[in-house]
Amino acid sequence: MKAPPSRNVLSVRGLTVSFRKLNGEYVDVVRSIDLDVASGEILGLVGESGSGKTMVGLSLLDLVPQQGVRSVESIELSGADLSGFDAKQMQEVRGRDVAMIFQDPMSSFNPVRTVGASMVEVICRHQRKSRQEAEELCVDALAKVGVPAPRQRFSAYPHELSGGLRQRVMIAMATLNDPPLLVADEPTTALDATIQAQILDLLRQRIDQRGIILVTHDLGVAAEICDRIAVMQRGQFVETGPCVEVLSRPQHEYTKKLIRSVPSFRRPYVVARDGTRVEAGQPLLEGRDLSVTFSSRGMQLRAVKNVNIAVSRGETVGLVGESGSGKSTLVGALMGIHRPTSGTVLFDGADVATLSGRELKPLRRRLQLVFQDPYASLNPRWTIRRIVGEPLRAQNVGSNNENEARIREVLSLVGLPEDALDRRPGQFSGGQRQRIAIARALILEPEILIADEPVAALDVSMQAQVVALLNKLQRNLDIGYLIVAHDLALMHHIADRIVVMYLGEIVEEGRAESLTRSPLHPYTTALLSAAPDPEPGRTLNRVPMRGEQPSPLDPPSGCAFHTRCPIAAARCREEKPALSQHHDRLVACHYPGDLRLPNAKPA
Amino acid sequence: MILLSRQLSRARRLSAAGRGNTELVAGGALILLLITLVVFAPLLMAHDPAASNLRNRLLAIGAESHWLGTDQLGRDIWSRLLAGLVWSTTAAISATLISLFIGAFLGLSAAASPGWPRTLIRWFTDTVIAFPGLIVAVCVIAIIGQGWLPMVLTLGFLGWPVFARVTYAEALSLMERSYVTSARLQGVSRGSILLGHIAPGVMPTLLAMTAFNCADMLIAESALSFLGIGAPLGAPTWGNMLAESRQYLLRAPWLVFAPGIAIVVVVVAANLLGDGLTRRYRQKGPAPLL
Amino acid sequence: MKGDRRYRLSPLAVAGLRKLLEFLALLGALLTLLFFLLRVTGDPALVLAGADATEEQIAAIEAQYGLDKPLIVQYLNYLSALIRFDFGTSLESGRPALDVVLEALPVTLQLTIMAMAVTIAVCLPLGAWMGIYQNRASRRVASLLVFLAQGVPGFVAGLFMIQLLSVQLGWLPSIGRGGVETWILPTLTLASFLIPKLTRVISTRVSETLGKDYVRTALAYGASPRAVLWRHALPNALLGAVALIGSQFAYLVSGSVIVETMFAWPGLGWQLMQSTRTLDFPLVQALAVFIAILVFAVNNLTDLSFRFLDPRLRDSGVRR
Repeated sequence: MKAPPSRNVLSVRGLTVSFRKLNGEYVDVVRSIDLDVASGEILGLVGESGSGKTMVGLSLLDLVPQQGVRSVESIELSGADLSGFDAKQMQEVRGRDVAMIFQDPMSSFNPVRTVGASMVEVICRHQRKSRQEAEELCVDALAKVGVPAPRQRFSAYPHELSGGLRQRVMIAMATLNDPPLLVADEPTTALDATIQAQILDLLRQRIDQRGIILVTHDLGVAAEICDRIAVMQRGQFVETGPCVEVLSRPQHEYTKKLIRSVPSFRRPYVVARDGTRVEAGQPLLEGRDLSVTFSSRGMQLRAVKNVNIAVSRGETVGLVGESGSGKSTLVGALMGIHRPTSGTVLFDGADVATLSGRELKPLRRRLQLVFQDPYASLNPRWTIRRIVGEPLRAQNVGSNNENEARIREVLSLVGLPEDALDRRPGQFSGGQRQRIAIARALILEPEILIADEPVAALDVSMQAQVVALLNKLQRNLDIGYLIVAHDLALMHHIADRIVVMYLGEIVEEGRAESLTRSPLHPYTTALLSAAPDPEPGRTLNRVPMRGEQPSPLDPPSGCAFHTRCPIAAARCREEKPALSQHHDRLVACHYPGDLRLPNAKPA
Repeated sequence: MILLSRQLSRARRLSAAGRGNTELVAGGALILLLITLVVFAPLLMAHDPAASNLRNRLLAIGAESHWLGTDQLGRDIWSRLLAGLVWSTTAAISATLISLFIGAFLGLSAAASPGWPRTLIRWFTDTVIAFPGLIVAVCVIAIIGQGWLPMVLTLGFLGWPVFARVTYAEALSLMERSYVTSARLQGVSRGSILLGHIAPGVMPTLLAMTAFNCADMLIAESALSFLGIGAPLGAPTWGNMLAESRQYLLRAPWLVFAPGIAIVVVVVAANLLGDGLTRRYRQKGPAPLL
Repeated sequence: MKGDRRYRLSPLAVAGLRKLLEFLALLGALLTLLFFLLRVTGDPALVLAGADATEEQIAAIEAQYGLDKPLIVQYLNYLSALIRFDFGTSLESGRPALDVVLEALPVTLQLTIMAMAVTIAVCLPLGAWMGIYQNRASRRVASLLVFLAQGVPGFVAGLFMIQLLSVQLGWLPSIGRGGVETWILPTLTLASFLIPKLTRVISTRVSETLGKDYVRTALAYGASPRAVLWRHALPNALLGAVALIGSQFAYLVSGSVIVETMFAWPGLGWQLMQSTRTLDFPLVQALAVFIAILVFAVNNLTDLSFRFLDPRLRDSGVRR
């Protein structure tokens, strides 16, 4: 590669990992790959699920699972060849010369030991240090990764820390012995966008002279911080090169397809809404002044607070927010899963709460839901015919023959072959399952479809397909969509209107393209600047957003966002801003538009 | 013809299920053998299990026309073993079925009705499960009397909590799946959801548990008889045979080993079947303990 | 300032108090049930007086024990006596029931504690070993043996051991309670009730724990397999086993009835068998109360220690 070999922290030649299948045959999950990481460089290993990217990271440490076998020509790590090391020598290398950062920081820490104990163990394994010295080093490391009150956190148990803090601790632990190489395996996948941005920035800061391998499925994340990218498909590198080059001038077909599938603010998406955005008409589904409060053990959790939302036929409303923002609870209230504590849900003008079960039944036909996880939303024991036909039977419509015809029709509508009818969900991929779920939601020809993160569990190429399907169906059937998502870039492309929620309240609402181009609420601005974007050339200029979302059990006074807001003033702490009209937008901020995106994104 | 081919395909599926699942195959085969023995027991008995013949007392294994020997009253051991097999297995299965029905019903009810019924059922289950079952059985049987039916009822009414607990946990986790939420939103009735989604989902676990529970019930039944409070004294049951054998340990060790090994075989068969079923449906870990 | 703060119990104490109240209610229900069942099904006076007693003798006995009063009066008398810790007199021996129970209690405690000690001493190392070496041939043999052992009911195992160790080899006495040599067979018998099941459970737990992400983390930071095992996998797996052992204590108490009867050990179980046979109702009731208290205490102590050991549960006060 370009960097002279002497500056390489890591240099791997001919790495292969094979897995033994149940029938005794071996299958290669990683196939003779070469890889170099220079000091001070972040190499992104990008690929979809099953591409073998995680196994590359683990195999460097010789930690492949039991049924796997690693073979390699050479692994040179700061001059030493690890390929011939025995088990004892590898133990010395792990944690001292290479450290791993894992995806799920909750399960990666021993739940019954304090994080401090875990960290001290890492130091004492490789350095001759007294307990006191080790403890000081740990507290120091915690402070360096931005853990507030590091001395207290040192003696906290993993479950007492938030996801973002746990990942910071993990990074602190990885750097304790100052290893020349870090391997980060999907370090931000379990985190919210704003926290993800913080962690990525932290990784960038803490690189020093190290090399970092960042394993990720998210091209956007790779584009944010990687210097070079290696694109993996079926165990092989299909393309390697400097980040900007690979992203702007991809050579391999797979890379091109992958890049096309990822939504970006700054270029068209594979799924276009053919220019015409729908103006909101007469609302069909409406939530008025909705509040949902959960109470347990004497504590009140106000998950949704006085929210107004409306969806009409043919339009797409995107509902955006981090976990804990109340967006799923709001959907639950609209669907009748949660009973609203106050406020009303209107469908076609009728108050749903006042209707009896029998009166509700015809309404259910017109309002359908698609769930996030296509693995949990289909009964694994049922055939596809029975699954897709369930709404028909529940509504008692049509004769058997008619229903059979409808099931076939709707299956072909979502692009599934007819022989799928007698198979069970286990035989389908995630994307196909989501199509089946959509088929079930469509069979009664609903007028409104609510989808809770319909593509979050899917690989990007699958995502694009499912989004395209939803788009096509909308055009043909004039369905109104309410789509819950965390991916603002995707919403930018497919939504007509975007509603942003924070701690149970709507903070901003407006036309999609205008809201993403010039956000008025500082939270929207921060979300947009935190959203990873695969288009190269964006300078890393984030809106600084402090800390993490406060607990919904104990929301801040005044404006709920003031604890994290970069432009919060004294007034924000005391006076709650009302959601009010501002230009073409509804926004709940005392100083709308004062915080601008660092680099305004061209449409 | 269609029926036949359907039968064939079912047989093929079954054999496919058994492949690589030694526990299931071995357990199933043993159980089939035991069922055959139970069904044909009257034909297989060489003697009346209750007929004593003092001239042939304590004949050793291999004696003429008494291949497993005779006991202290000259009764044929093999015939008594068979009679005991019928007694014990019918008792164990009946008690298990009572437990299964009560437990499944309460477990499903608790899962389906949040609020105070759930709290009450769970508390009741936890309470009964925490109690030393055998001690309660001793007290109850002492009061209501000995015999097949009192024992089956006692064991059946004491054994349900394990079923209730597992049914409840499984049903609750199924109810949180989004396919159940989806069905509810479609307006599918509560009963249809229970029958269509929940019950079939809980079934595999219950099936495996039933096998394990039969083994436990058989042990409990013979233990009670061994203590002298289960089967009526002198009845041909394995527990009684073991209790009677204690006076002749030195002179006639086969009196211990014949019923002892018989119990072990049946329990192992049921456990094998349970393990096999568990593996078949990929549930992790052994079944909850008694 | 101090006075302003509302006094609050820790969640653990609240949970403990609730348990205690629940238990007292349960005990009351149990005693009521036992009282009426015993009185309805049999006449203790007949048992006391013997088969060929005259009407007058029976009447005298009824008057002596208060059996001639209406049932509800008897019940109230019984309850008020209970509150004063007066369990009445054993009909059979004429001694205070409490004395009989307190005499039997140490025997049962000795038996169950010894059996528990043996069980733990066997199950922990064996289960851990089986959980660690999933693929060794020796482990497969061991797990087959454990599986077969699970098919042998405790009392059958006891009989086999008597046959072998005391009848054939003559090493140990087959009955009675005396010196150390008489302890061995009952202890082993009672231990064999639990050993196979517990071994299997511990083995599963250990192998599950070894598959956890934090074990992988420890390995990735250079911990040797031995260190991972001793510092992470085993303590965490055994933490769960503590709760399990507690919940199995009731099972062990059940087993002690059989074992005490088998070996003629005058413990709670043996007394229970005797007193139910003779319808010695004050004694049955006293025994039931003490067994219930014993089981409750052990269950909840292990549960509490489990909660205390697991930081995730320490401050929540709830399990599951």
